[in-house]
Amino acid sequence: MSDTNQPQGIHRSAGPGAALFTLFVLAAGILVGRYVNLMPTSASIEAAVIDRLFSIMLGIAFAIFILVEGVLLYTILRFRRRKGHEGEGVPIHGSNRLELAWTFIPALIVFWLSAVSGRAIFSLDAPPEDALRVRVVARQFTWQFEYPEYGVSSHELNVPIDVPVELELISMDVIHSFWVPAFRLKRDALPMRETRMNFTATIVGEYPVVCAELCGAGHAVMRTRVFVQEREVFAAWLAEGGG
Amino acid sequence: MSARRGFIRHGAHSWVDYFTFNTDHKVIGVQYLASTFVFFIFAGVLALIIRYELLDPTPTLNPNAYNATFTLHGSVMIFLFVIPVMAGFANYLIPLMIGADDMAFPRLNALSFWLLILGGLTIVSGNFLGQADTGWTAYAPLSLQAPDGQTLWAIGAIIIGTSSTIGAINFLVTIGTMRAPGLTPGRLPLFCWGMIATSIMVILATPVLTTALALLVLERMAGMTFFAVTGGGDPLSWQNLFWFYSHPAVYIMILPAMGLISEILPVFSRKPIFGYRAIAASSMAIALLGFLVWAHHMFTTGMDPAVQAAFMVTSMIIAVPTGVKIFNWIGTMWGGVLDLRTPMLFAIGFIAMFVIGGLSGITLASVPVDTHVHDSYYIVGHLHYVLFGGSVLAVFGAFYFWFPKITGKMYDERLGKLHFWLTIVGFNLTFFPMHWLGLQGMPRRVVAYAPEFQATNQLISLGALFLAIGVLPFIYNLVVSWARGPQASSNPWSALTLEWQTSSPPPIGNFDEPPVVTHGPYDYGEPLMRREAAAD
Repeated sequence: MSDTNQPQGIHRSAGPGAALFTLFVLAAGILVGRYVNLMPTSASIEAAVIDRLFSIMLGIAFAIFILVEGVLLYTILRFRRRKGHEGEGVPIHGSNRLELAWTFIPALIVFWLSAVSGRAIFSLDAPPEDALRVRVVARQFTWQFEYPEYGVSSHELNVPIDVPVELELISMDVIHSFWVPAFRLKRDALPMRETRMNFTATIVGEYPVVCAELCGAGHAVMRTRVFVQEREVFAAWLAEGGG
Repeated sequence: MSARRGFIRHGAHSWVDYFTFNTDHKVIGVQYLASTFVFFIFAGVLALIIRYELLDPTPTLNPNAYNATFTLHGSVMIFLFVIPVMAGFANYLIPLMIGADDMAFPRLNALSFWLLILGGLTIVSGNFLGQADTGWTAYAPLSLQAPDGQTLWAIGAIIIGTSSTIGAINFLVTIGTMRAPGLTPGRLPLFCWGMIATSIMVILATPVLTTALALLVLERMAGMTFFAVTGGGDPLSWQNLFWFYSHPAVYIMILPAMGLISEILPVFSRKPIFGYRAIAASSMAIALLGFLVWAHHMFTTGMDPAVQAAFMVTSMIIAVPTGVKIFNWIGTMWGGVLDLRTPMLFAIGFIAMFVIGGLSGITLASVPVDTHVHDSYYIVGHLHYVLFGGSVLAVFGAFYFWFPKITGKMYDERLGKLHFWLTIVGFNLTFFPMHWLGLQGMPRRVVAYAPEFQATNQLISLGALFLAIGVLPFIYNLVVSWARGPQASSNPWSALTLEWQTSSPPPIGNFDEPPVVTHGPYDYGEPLMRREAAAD
């Protein structure tokens, strides 16, 4: 469709009102991205990275939300049919300039978000040096944590604070998924195929572990806890043989 | 066409004809719309059972029964409502919109409808053998452990896939070969463009699902091994095959809905559609890109980061053609004279809600964010914003919009608006808080959950009740208006597409005289309408 000569009325109010609205949209996005936190306690280095990324996306998403819903609402209010008005709208078929704008600007935004997210993927994936290795064995419907270097095994995960941990996950039956919401990390435990997940816990405490992949009747209760401990406490726990 | 041979009938002469192997596309369209709506109600009742269970954090139902309930809810909503209800509209509307007397293959058309019913009954009959309880995604090897109903589930889904493929071939051939003189590709209604894109996806993607399902049946029944590691299989093969169909299926469910919206908006804006070519082209772009994103459902399986990054980029790019549609729809309304009747309210509701589903979708494409929220209630919230806030609102709008054409009667506007507002309030109350639950750590598909999530879950269940109550005025409106509503004229909305240029309901064969097309489908706006008025 080619550009049609657009009647002046269509652009009538594109002035101070539009500028004010744009400012409002930007401010709303920045404020929401900066101050709104929808996440639970953040207890790992990885959680901080992911939360930052999510905040950026939440801010952008909120700005776009306000922009689109705002324009939609304004359109409804301004152009709704008044009582007794039997006329037709203006016969505009499109605008190549607008099409280009609303193709390329969103494309730039998603490419930028991809770049930011891509950096995070590779930084989160980097295998840590001198990590504490823990083998996670998933079964219908329990988690078992083995510390091969110490000959210790437990049904709850115990880890020292500020020490990189590398989990090696495996399932003995169906697919499970190991999720620690406080770490923002999740990895599937597959039958006979090892998967890995790294994290470094940053706050001492007790956090839920849940199974995120439907694994049968006991899926909902396939829960346990992770204890992030001071190094001495963790060492003492290991020395006592776990449990 | 009108000859009756054996058990084959053509056209609706009495209500009995709607229960036969009828070859009239309008009868088949109504058959599709009515039976898929019954499946919608059935799956909606299952949703209420789910919300009842989640009123408190401890299990009330037997966990296997709960798992079977949400499995059936998802399977019926997707395979027996959202996908085929679009085939219902396509059946009824495509021949009318292109000025044809019927579909290209009327008997295949009837076959595709009755296969849908057969497949649906096959899935539901699993109840008698132990219902499938592994989610609509049926991940192996869990689906190898499931009761016998899982086999019926797979066979039923194969039958439905076959029905869907036959329908898609029919739509493509009909649009390709039976258009009225003057109906050039650039004058094709956008719903037809949506169905072209959808049908291509159905034809290319469904065989892959059929393969996966057939392998599952063989592994369960014939002792072969494809997915179980103990026999040398690979459970991730199931996920790759399943999502190679089931991600395109998301677009199979939304592209026709976007087509419906593109029909409704210009009529009630009294303005041409804004960016016709951009909307049609973006459907084709989504159909293509939809095949390149399936592994974003598998980000947590431990795949290589480079592969994750590649699928993340393709998933993000899909936001672009989707955004193009949203902006063009708002462009269509801008400068119009908006008539806020029920179909228009649902169309606007679609835009407003779909934006939210699209934005949460972008956050999900980002691998690190997905690592946290994958398989959580955040996903459940997102997918319902797309499928309910998107597809189902479009379907409701379309029911009202074409009701006068299909039945020859007008619906009640006040009941329609009541339905709209109850639905919008109930919908947001139900699905918006789910995002928060997921971020906070509540996984999906759980019969029990941590006690701190109880209040939010109760709010969600209340919303679901609103949503369910909202459907009642809709059903009442449809039934009562069809029985004794005021007579509708042939073109109550002063619309320009061809289905409105014949009587309501249209005669068997659709048009008394073969139509000739001389203008675009959305040439609304003052100069043209004045010309038309002058010509009269």
